[in-house]
Amino acid sequence: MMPKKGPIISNLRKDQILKSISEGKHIDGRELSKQRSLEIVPGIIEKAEGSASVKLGDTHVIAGIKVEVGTPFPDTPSEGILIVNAEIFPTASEYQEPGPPDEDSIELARVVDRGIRESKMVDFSKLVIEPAKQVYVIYVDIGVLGMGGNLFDASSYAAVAALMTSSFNVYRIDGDIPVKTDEKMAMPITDFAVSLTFAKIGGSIVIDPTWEEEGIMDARLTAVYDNDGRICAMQKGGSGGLKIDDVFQMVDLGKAKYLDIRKKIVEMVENAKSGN
Amino acid sequence: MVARGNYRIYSNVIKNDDKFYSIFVGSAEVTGGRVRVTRLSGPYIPKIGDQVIGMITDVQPLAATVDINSYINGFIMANAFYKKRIDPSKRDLSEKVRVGDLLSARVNRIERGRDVSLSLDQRWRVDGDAIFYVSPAKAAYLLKSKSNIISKIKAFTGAGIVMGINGVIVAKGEKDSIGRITEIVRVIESQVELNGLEDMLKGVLR
Repeated sequence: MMPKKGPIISNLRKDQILKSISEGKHIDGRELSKQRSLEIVPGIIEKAEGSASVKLGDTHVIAGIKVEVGTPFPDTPSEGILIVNAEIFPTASEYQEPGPPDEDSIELARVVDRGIRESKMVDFSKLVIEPAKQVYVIYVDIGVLGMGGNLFDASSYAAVAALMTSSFNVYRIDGDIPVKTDEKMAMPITDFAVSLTFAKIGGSIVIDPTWEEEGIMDARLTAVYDNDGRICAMQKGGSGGLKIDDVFQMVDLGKAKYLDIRKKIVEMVENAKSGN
Repeated sequence: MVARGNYRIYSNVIKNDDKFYSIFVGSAEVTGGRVRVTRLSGPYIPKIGDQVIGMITDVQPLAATVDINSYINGFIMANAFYKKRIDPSKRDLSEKVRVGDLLSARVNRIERGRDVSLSLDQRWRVDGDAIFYVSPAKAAYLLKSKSNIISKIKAFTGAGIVMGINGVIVAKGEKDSIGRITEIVRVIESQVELNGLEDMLKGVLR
């Protein structure tokens, strides 16, 4: 099959989606302001320091955490390091080719990274072994198994749930060499962010677009909400423009929704921690 | 293994000594001295003569590329749209078709390593109000049904239906008719096995 960047939607299907949206429904029958069903399962990878699987409708994402020791960046000698990588596996969609991460994967990793970093979710000052010399490096690896649209939110929830349930071995400095101990340390979590993605399709604002809807959308906006509902990160996508009223409509809709997602993440994580 | 003994191979089965093995996960049928397996899922596998509904994904001066819901694309030469030889320097195929258009075509040549050659049906342009996708195996089963289930679906829903053996269904009708077809497609996709699919549909259409 000819490699394609994304789905080409038939003109008939496009009309069908636009008609459905003009009648106030997503093409899958949801209200325009309703997300698809969300399922979060933390702790799916035994050998990782933390992990989670997220299913958001047909979208399936897994995230794994690994912790290593490394040298801090010169401008932040007293802070640990966060590195987020994302990969869309060829099995996720017929349009995805094998090979190094493409620009979509890089954008996905950047948006998830920004959400974690700007929400101050992880207290990086507690990830220091010896200032300016040895710090913990947190690797968040995201793998997309099923591409059903809105990878930003699914990946963000997976990364957040994996970080919240992660713990790692403490290192002690012996001479100049870090030595792994049996002592465990929980990830220093202070807060966490909730990502919500909106699309503008045919003049209407919809939340959590499906893959087909993303194929015909004019523009996309991802907003990341902190504990108090403040927006701490944003990413605009798509070739079309957004009016200021569109942006306000999107962020207001997000403000009304983020608490539900937040509760769901907390509930799933608490269940995982208590072993239910 | 789906059968043992003296049978003729019909489809999707390989023979080793007197044993017959399925090459796909599917529904096996051993009747009339023949053994065959019908795939339950997976992409459409083109066969010469198949009538498919495809979508134009690329328009070039000499040919158009068509997504036929398969692991491989189809292509149609520009001449076929004009029903005569054309000079590509003087005619632009995009005046006839554009990316995203649907068409009805037949598979006329399959060559290893190349796209599938298609020929246009007499009335090739496909238009409607809704498009649905079902498993190609189920589409083939329904199209070959002896009880003419597609006509019954048309009569029940009151919609015009065009169905390709590649699992693409295009429906034309009022909102209620499209709603009924949506429900029927849901029933088709919810049935795991082909055996019983026809009876199940007859129950819905009653």
